[in-house]
Amino acid sequence: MKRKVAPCLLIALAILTGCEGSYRTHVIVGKLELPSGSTGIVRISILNPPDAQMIQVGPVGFLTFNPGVIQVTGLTGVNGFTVFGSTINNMMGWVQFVASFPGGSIRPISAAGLGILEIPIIEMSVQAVGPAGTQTALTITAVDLFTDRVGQPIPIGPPIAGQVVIITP
Amino acid sequence: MKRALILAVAIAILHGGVWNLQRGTALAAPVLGEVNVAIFFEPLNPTQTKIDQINVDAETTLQLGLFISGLALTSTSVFSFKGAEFQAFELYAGMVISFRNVVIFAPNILEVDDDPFWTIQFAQPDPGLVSVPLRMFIDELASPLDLAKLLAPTVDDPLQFRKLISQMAVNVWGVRFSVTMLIANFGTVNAPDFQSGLIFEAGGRTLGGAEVISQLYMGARQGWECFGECKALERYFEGRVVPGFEFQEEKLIIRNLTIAGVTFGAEFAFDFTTLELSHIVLSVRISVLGVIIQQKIVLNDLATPSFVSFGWTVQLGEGVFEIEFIDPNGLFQFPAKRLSFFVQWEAISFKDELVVQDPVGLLHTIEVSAEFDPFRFRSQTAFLGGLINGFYNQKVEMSWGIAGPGTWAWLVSLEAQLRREYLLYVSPSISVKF
Repeated sequence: MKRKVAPCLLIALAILTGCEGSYRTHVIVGKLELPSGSTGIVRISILNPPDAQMIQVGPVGFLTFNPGVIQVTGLTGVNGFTVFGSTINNMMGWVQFVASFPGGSIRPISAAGLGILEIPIIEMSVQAVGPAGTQTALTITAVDLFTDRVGQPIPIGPPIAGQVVIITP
Repeated sequence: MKRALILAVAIAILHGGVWNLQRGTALAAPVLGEVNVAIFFEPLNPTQTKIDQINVDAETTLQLGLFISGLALTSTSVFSFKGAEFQAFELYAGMVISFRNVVIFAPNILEVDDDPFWTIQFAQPDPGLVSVPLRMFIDELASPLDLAKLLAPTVDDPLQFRKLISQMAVNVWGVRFSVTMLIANFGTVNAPDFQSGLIFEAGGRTLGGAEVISQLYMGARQGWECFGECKALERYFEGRVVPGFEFQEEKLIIRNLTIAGVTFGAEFAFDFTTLELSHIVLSVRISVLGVIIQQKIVLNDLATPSFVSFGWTVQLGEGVFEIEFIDPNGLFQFPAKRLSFFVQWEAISFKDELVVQDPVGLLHTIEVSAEFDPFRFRSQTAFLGGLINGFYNQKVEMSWGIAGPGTWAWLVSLEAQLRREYLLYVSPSISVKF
């Protein structure tokens, strides 16, 4: 009986894993609750990164926000990424940037008992300027360039928007 | 010139001496040893298909041991095209009081945090390595050449003293007391900068099997250090030295505390620099009707969880199922799940693992390994973003071992990795033990 269970489970798993998925690489902008008047960090991450090495938002794409709610004060690369150029327009409420990982690339980390699929690459410093109760979406309208370790474009799904909510201090 | 020297050393090693790989095996001969030569080939332009240039990385590791009743002296040397990259001498003497001394010479030193990314906190020389996630260059999907390229700019200098680890331990009425002294050189060849740390440890095991350990860190913190190319032999996990000889951390660790069939574990870290609890790990494990249920919570302080996981392990026949719900942010929302199935039929084993993360993250790995002496085979296939869909990586390892005559043993291995549509690297290697 026991000898039959394992092959049956194996077949069931094979059937399960044979189902096609619709997963792709995505750029994710993080969410943050921020007390009025204070500063915080919003992370921009890559989900399912297949050796991502360079990302550029601009000149076509923008990361947009409501400048009446937050002001962006800076962008910093993390996990090996460096922001090589950025334009912050706090009047109009948009940011453009180019960032890359010189000498490396990012992908999921697979080790014993550990699977990390979402890797943060940029930390965006923001300051809450709006009153408590206001909020703004953080939307990347388009990713202009997104390449892997050998310079090939990475197929990418729609960027997943983030949000900053201003709360009472 | 350097290449010729390395080749000459490798040939001399292959033809001379009497060594043995296993330090822990019967010590018929007082001198034991192992030599391993590995070569890595990487296409220079992986997108081209027919004719291409290649990157080559060669690494020779030599381990020698001298064992004389209760005293063990070992030497580990690593060579590459750049010359000697790492040299460690280790002395161990064990009687009533045990002593362990490790002296490390290397052109570089890296201080690494023990977070999931193994973030580099300090590097000397530092061509921009701080904050780089080292685990990305070391885990299952990594290419050894990526690690070599990352650290190549740090191994240009000649060997210099980089680290001393000096440990003394004694058992008194079942309680083990130990002192670890760490001295690290964070400087350069011309301007050495010595920093030191001390780790006091006291621990013991109760009759019920529970283990309690207390650790006090001065001038050092949790984490690890590595040298040369940061390969497994070049990593030391005693802790990482931080500048300034000050109280840093106090840790209390409790393992295998079983009450009414429930096994508890806990780890508390108090940070003297901020005067607050900085790290708390609580784990619970219970076995009910063949199902193992386990939970782990990591907190930054008494009220702020930073990581939560909850898992079940079920054995059905020869198969083992594991399901784990993970919240890397500690919000109890569990955006990540890990499902795995493992089965072993005598010499063949099979593992299928899915890691899923909201909203659409997915890593699917299938691993098959077989062992029919003298052959060993292991294959790992990874799909990114889909179930058997979105091929990402294929790793194959094969080895063939030859025993004898006497205590001689040879192991010939071949390792290759395909990444999407191109060859990532191929690596033949040979180990000689006796």
